[in-house]
Amino acid sequence: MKLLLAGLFTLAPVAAAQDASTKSDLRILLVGHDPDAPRITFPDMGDERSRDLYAERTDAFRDLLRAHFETVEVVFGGAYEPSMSDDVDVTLFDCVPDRLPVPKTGELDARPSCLPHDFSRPALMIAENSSLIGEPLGSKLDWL
Amino acid sequence: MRVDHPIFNTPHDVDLTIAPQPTPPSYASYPEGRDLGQTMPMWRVQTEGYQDGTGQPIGMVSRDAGFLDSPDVEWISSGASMKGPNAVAIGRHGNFFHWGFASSPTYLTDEAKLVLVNAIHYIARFDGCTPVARKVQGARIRSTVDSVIENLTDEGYARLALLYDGYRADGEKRKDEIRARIDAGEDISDGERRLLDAEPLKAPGRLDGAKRLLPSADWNAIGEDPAEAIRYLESIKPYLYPAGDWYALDVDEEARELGLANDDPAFLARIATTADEERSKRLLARYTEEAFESAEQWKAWHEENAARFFFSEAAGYKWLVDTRADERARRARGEYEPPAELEDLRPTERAPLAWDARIERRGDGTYEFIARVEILPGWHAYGSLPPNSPYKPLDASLELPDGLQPAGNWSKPAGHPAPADPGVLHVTGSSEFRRALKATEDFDPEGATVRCTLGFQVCDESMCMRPTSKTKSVPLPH
Repeated sequence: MKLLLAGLFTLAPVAAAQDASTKSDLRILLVGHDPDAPRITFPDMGDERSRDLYAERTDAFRDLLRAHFETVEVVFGGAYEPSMSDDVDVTLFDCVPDRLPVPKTGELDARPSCLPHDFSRPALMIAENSSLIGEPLGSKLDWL
Repeated sequence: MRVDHPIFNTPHDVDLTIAPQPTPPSYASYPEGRDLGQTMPMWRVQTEGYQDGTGQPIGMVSRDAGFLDSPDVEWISSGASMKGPNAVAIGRHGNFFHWGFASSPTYLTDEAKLVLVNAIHYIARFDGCTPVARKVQGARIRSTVDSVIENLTDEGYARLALLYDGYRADGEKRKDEIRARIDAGEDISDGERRLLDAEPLKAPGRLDGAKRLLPSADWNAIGEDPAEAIRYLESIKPYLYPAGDWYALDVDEEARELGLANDDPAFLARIATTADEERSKRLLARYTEEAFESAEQWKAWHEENAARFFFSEAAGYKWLVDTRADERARRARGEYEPPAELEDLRPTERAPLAWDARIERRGDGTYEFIARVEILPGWHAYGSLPPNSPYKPLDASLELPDGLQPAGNWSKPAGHPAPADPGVLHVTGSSEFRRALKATEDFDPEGATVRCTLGFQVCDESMCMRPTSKTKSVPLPH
């Protein structure tokens, strides 16, 4: 599951980029890492390098988003609640939120998850967040 | 990689830089990866990869097995990884979009940043489109049998043996490196010590994979002849279903009695219309998520949904109803609310291209003319054509009132190479024509209009509409 580049099955290049100078009015919510307490999934990197990378990550996503969208809100993973996604058009998950309380009925619902089973708002997941957040909901964008 | 997907061209038409890169070694162990060659064309997403030694986090791809067996998904691109060439690095399932690359935007290429922004625009369309098929963890996909069968053949097993020869050689090389460090007086870890003591890796026995896949089969009766094992596996493949344990498959003898593959629509029809029989009741419970009480209810359910059934192995080998087929068709037809200032922007099957225009004041006597074009998914117009082409290209022209002049060239939709002919550029989805205009000092915009004529021809895979031109009068703001 390690990743370097996107593989292509065509050699044809596409034409020049079109300038889009106006910002979109889509409302975006970024669920990001707290730089002081990042939720790092893989212990692959040296601690110092991890600290450096995760210290700047949420700001980098925020700045990219604010360059293209008029309304961008930021919340750290531990403070996110699913109802927040109702007030925006797209939620971008770069950090795993807290698990919801486990309901007492229903086999699928009994799996610990960060989002309710009927979560229906548009969500873009960065890397392993697809699996960590989506797998309990039956997402095919999973680890395996 | 689907370069024609909207995430690569809407709203930002991204100029993708493509270059040959070494084919990931893991691809060779997949049937679809064997003929890819030493290098393959790739698009760079990150400025640093996790293997560059700078400590970038690892991304994630999802295995493609079973991914496309439901109508609520999109495979957009694979990515260099330890999985196969068709793994999902960029994709969608329902209202969830997967961006498999783990680096922050600081380490994304400029192109990748725009594609990520486009992906946000794209997934915004799927509000309310929850997954129709929910994946069941631990359900082995039936195509695994094909891999096992291949490894039973002479050619397949020779390839497997060669792979293990390579593993063994790598293992011995690693041991030599550890021994050299010991000789140099270095300490080694417990793990490295265990590696030194480990037996060399051996290729599995020829029938080992088959026996591991189906431990419940009578392998004594089948014997050790690979040809017999192949015949057996091919005979039971249509009746395999999850046996309950993690990744275990077994033969559904009741489905086999019917003589119908459990993923054959005739199988569902047979059991749904005979729900008064005990065997059919058990099969319906096994292969659907419904729990009707009467045979009449089962029959009615089957009749009502006849055109919407699909079989998903990923969802646990279930017959499911595509409850979002109608909604997806509406979204595919582009039935959405256009911005208030562009009211006619609603393409239909009878008129697959819709357009409207406006003029915006830019200050200091300058304006910008903007024509927005919307093309129904599945259709395209032509951004560029070779000489003597019979098709009409998408083009715009203006008739300006006295006192107003163009102040630059047109910014036109860039388009993307046609799948069958790279010399032709298709324009699809949303696009714009823009042109700056400059007024003279004595120009009075009140009551002034600009006439814009858009010429175009739209085609889909099988037919073309007549070439046409449409003209609109656009008032200037004042």
